[in-house]
Amino acid sequence: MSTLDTRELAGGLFLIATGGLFSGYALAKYSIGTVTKMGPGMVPVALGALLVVFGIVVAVGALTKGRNTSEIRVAVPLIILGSVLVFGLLIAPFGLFPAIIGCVLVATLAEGKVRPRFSLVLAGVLCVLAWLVFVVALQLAVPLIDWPF
Amino acid sequence: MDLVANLYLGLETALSPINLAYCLLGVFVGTLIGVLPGIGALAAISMLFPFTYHLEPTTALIMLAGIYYGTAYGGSTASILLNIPGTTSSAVTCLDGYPMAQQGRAGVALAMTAIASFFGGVFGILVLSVFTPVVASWALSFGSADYFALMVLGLVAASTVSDGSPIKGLAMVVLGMLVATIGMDPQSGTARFTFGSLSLLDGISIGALAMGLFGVAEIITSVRSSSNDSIKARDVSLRSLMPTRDDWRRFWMPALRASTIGSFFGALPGTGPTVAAFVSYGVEKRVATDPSRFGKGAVEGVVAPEAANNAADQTAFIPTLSLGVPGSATMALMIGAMMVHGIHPGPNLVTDHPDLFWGLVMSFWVGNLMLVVLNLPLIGLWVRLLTVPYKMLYPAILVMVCIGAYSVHFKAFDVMVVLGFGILGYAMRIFSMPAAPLLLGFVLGPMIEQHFRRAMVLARGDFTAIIGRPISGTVLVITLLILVLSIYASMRRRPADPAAPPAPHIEDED
Repeated sequence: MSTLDTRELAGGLFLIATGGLFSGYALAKYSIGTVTKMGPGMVPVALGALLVVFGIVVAVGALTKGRNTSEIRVAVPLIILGSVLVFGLLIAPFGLFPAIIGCVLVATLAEGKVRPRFSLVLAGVLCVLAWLVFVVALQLAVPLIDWPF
Repeated sequence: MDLVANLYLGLETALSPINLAYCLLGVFVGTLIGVLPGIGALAAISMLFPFTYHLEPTTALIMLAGIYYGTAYGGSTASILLNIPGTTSSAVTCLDGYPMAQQGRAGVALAMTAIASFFGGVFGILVLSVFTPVVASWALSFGSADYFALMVLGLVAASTVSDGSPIKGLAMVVLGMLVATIGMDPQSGTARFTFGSLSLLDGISIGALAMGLFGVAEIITSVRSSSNDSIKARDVSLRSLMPTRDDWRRFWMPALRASTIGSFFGALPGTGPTVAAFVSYGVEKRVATDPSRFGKGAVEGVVAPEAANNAADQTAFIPTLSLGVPGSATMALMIGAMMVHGIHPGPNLVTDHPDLFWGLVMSFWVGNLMLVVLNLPLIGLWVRLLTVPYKMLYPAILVMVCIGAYSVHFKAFDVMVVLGFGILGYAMRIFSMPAAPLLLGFVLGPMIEQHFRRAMVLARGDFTAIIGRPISGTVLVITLLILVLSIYASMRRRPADPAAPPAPHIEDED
């Protein structure tokens, strides 16, 4: 077993980078002010710096302990996140039904098998359910199908 | 008498048809979510959060609260029948609930948990209605420095007491506070971190953040790993629900002890229903005349944790409603729901919005009654629900999350915010960083900033003035103690880590 936990190290670096970005951007763009009259930059700069400190602690801790065996998934997260992306891209121009169908078709791929019939039936059922819940019951003003052109 | 008038007002509010309907919806969805393993209360409340924008604040809170305590009822069902906790707070219920099911006493175990849950819930409500006004009137004299200290205590306790690295918990609190600074700065009117985007000027919506962190990230980790294809629904008839006289005899004292323990841990920041359930189980095992019965289907072993976690669910509202300081991420969402409607929880809530406070409290009674009715005769329905395959469930949840996010402002941008926090949430899981503290930091961040600025102005920039005040000083000392103790505990834990058994995962929920 190695003595360096790379994942933990990456986590620490992630914190350092995020804190640094927030702090640096606020430092460059917003006024800091004084303690009695704080400017909009004071709190973000302080919090960002704090995050950098925590990141350093996590990263240093990673150098001394070696473990972590859980798998990192690549395909599943991309597919699930992709389904949300598809919904977000389709909802405004095309309406609710195309967005739901697109989202479900992509999301069902995460199972690792392509089953068009299952996906389409599920998409159809969810369209009907969404129509009943959101349009009929909650009366949201969402167009079911839209055509932007 | 004042109290009687208040209770009457509350009952009137809680029993209005619309509030009754949403209370029923809430406890129904709560039981449903609780029964289904892999989705916790926090994810459920996040998913339904957007719909509360379209409701009256009281109605919205009644529904969200219903989901919250409803999951505690439903969670025990999966624990008993499948040995898989539906929610983290019912994990202990597995220990004796599942053996009871194996002995053919599943019905009795389910009935006992429902009754114990009701008992604990009612006990917690009583504590809540007595103590909230007391704490609130006491808190009226608090200044900004005191609130600042209390909120820091809440954040530190909630992010370090649960297992896992306290440093990572604190880091996530800070990250949440940073995310909260995005948007218009209320003090100076400066747009912070918006990069010229008008959509970002309003800040990140709490609903989108919660749905991304808890909804989407949860699905990513559960797909393909939580398979329930092989589950066979165990038939539970109404007749088998009847406890014996011996079961009843073993019910009262454990239920009473556990409710007291639950009420205590529920009101403390950082601890919650899960800790309460573990502690009460331990206490019962210690006071029992024959501890060897535990783990082999002892009735006390299901009664105690279920009474405790339900009592804790109710008393968690004490600091939330009387001080405006949430003790857990779920309570932070409750506060978020109030702030969406322009209500700032704090000591004035009970007097300024008596219909909201007492209506909510009375709806807890109504909701707990509904839950007993829902859970006992309809148990067969819930059992069958356990067999719904996850491959059908998760696309449905994703669609609901997306529509929910979109429906708040009818902007596709909010769906993209969900996406962004889904990515962040998954990255955090890879780095084993807890998500609940981030949400707490996000909700409390702006309030802390505001109180800190005000306290600094009042003290003319002298930080020692905050430490010098009796209340804020004491609270900060306690905070420091918790911090030092938890860091010390995690340092001691670390060397033995690789050999240590997997600890129960209790950071995400409550």
